Amino acid sequence: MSKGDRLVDLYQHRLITEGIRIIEKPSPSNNFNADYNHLSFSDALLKRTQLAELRYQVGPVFLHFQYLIKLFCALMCVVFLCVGASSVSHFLVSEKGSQINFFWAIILFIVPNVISLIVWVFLYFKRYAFNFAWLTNLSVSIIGLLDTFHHKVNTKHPYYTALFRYYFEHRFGKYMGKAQLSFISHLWWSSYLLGATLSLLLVLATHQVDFIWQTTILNEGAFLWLTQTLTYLPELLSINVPSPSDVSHASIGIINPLQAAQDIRVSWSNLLIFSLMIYALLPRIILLLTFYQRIKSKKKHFTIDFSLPYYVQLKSLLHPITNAHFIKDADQQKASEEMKVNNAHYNEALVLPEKMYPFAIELDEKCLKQANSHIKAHYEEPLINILDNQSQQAVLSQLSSSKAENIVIYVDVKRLPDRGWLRLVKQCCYESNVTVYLILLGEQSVDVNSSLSVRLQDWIEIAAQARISTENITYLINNNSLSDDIKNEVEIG
Amino acid sequence: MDKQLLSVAVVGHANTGKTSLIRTLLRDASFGEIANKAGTTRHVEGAEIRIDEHQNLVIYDTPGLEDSMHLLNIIDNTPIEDSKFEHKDEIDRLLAFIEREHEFPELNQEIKVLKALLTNDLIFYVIDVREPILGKYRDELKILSYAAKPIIPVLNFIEAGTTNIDNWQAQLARLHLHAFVSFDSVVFRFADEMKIYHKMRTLLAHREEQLEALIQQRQQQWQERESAAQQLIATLLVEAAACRFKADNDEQSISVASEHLQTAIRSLESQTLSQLLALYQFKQQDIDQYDLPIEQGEWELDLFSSDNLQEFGIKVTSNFVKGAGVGVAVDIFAAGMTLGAAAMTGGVMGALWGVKQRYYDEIEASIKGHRYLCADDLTLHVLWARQLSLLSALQQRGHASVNKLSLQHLDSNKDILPKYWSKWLSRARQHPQWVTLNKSDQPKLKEKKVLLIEQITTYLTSLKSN
Ligand SMILES: Nc1nc2c(ncn2[C@@H]2O[C@H](COP(=O)(O)OP(=O)(O)O)[C@@H](O)[C@H]2O)c(=O)[nH]1
Ligand SMILES: [Mg+2]
Repeated sequence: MSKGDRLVDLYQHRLITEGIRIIEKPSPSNNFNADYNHLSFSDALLKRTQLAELRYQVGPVFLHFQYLIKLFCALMCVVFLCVGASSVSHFLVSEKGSQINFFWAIILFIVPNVISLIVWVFLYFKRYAFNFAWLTNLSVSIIGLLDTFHHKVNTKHPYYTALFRYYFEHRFGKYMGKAQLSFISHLWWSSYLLGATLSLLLVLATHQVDFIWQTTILNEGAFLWLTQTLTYLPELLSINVPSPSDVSHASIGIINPLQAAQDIRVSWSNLLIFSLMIYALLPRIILLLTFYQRIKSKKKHFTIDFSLPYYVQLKSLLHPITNAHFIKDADQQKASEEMKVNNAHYNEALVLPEKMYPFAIELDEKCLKQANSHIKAHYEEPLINILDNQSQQAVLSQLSSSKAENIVIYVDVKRLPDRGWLRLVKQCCYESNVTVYLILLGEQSVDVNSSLSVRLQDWIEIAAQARISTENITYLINNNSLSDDIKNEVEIG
Repeated sequence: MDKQLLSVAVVGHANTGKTSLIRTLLRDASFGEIANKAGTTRHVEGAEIRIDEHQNLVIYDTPGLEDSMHLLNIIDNTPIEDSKFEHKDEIDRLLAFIEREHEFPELNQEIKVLKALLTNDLIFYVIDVREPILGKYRDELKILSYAAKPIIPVLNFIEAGTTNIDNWQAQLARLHLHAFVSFDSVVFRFADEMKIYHKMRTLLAHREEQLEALIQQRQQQWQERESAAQQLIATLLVEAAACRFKADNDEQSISVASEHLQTAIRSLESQTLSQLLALYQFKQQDIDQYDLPIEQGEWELDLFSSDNLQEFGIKVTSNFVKGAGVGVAVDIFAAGMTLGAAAMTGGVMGALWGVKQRYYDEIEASIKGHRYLCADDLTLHVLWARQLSLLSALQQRGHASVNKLSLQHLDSNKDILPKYWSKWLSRARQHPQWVTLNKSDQPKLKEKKVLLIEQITTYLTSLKSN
């Protein structure tokens, strides 16, 4: 495949990608999975387009549209060719068929051409010039008409209209529209002029005509000046053209001698055909080729606007931030060791034992005060609050030396119980006859605060794992006004 | 093709938000498990973050360190006299301990974390800043330092724990951890995420290129998404404004037409909503997690319901809701003005035809005693504000109360409206063909519509950058 082919190919691909966007609007479907991970986005998009095209079949539809537009232009070309050809016999050649008014010929072919060129230049450099409502509608309806006459596609694509709208916008919209319309207008003018030139040649080849000029209000000077300007170029190329004296003789009624007349006829027709070709047809054809190239390069450089929401979504679909989760170091232990406690049950009227060893774990100042005031009645020393390794070791050694059979642990219900806590409590039960009491400190009733009730649940669950019976767990609320009655229930026996 | 890997382990105490942090970085709510309790994550679970076709960043979630005091005790007492430990340093100590892992079944989870520490390039240490600085956290940090890997402390829960940030910062500095980042997985800020990657780049100098690519890629993606979302909102505004329905000049016909109008605008809004959600990859799961007022892809409150209007500070008694409903008639006078101007300047056959086509409907309507209903400014304003606040909620993946965000004093505070607001609206209203559901035989080329949408998008972008 040559390089040029590939570029055209790429253009078609991009067009199809856009067509798929029109079909999938508003969000890309994630049905076209493949391994896009190792591709750059544009390559991945290409691959996806190929996959999706298998289903959507956008390409043939676009080719059909392309064909329709071509057909439309070609038909119009033929029409203009005929118009050009017939205009020569209609307007130029007089009834007797023996005289051609040179002035009239110039006005008929060259002047409108120049004027239309000027209009075209003006429109070309003006923004939105081609956004003529009527023009668009007219062409759309003509193309639609062509389509109905043209029974090639009998089963229409389900997105036919939407695709057509897109394609039309693409060809005649902001990106290519100016080049495309310029091309078409030059093409049509070229056909018109070509038709005129050919039929003029035909007329001159088969008729003997005399060239004259007529005027009522212009003077001879103007006509002289015009012909002289026109003859400047052909004279340089040493083509036989009428001399100034021929021009002034060419007014009506002056009959030349036979031989001289034939020479003058030839030079006049040289001038007319030369003017038509060089001043009218040639610029049009040059412009035609220029815009042909321009369209080609526009197609080559056609890029998709990836900032459209659709493509942004597609990007994260083809290249998600993450596409693989994997377990690296799996948990071998069975999760069954966890005990589920269904309702947060505790002993509201817990009676603390006579002999005990109390301590606290990770209490903040406020909770520690609460705990100390709670234990004060019964236990003279201040509580040890375990915060780090040192305090932990201190508690453990005191505990083993005290030989206490009852351990009371104060914790803050807001804190999260974890395995460290569990290990510590298990370590405290150095002998099998040790009983552990758990006192949860809080500031609110759990009914008020749902997150607190979840935490309470966590504590009761972990207590179960530490084999603390729910009978030995209580919840102490440090809210004097609200919880006096609850507090009274927890008596120290 | 071999991918270049760069790996990060996320460690920390239980329930500090390690898994949440990873989910946020991955934008993937299906990663791992999250619960407000200890021991949720039990495996070391990895995920790849795509940088480009050649490079990945792998990020590992680990179980929480829950018994660091005990762990540290044991590690510190692990003998390393064996000749195979030639360095006799902390890494050797960790290795020696890991060799004896079967002796400590209770530390099974912690050992997984130690292995992760030793095998990854970088460590994120996640901290719940609401917590007091306890001995166990210091022990955790000490154990981390044994692995001799670069550490980035991530201060999580900064929204709730602002007051404690300084304490943590001081504590970390004492442990030679000066480079920390703050984060909140729930109230997400893109800048915070970028800071994490920037810190990584500083710490891993030999991986600078790779991390630079990652930063570029994420930034680009963020911006692309934002501008795509802005485009969607601008399009919605333009299309909703362009929407119109023809009615006869009597009560009943007007109320039918305004019903149609409401339905049309509702469906436009709902399309935009689903696109915005898709753009930010919000699945039902996320919507639930972040309490967005969205139910099965639809807004919980109808755009036109009085509850919704109240959310945006509009009194239900205002004449907006009274009378003929939302619709107001297109101002035919404005159309007439343009008609005259166009005829003056155009002067060409084509232009006249264009003008005729352009205003034919309106002129015919006014002659025959019809009117066109289109959405009034207030409706469009509420629509606009609602999408903008949704966008900012989506960008924070978050808790921001979507409805109450920006429009508290809608009537009184005129200056929050864009400068060219009414110009935009009148431009859109003059182009009913911009909405496919309006049946109009005006030209289909969208150039001007695209231009207007671009203008509005640019406005939104400039709003963001200020
Ligand atoms: N408000 C807030 N909540 C968070 C944040 N990070 C995590 N969470 C919550 O904290 C709890 C624990 O999170 P998780 O990711 O499971 O922690 P992990 O055990 O460290 O993996 C969950 O309920 C999260 O929703 C945060 O930055 N802000
Ligand atoms: Mg976790």
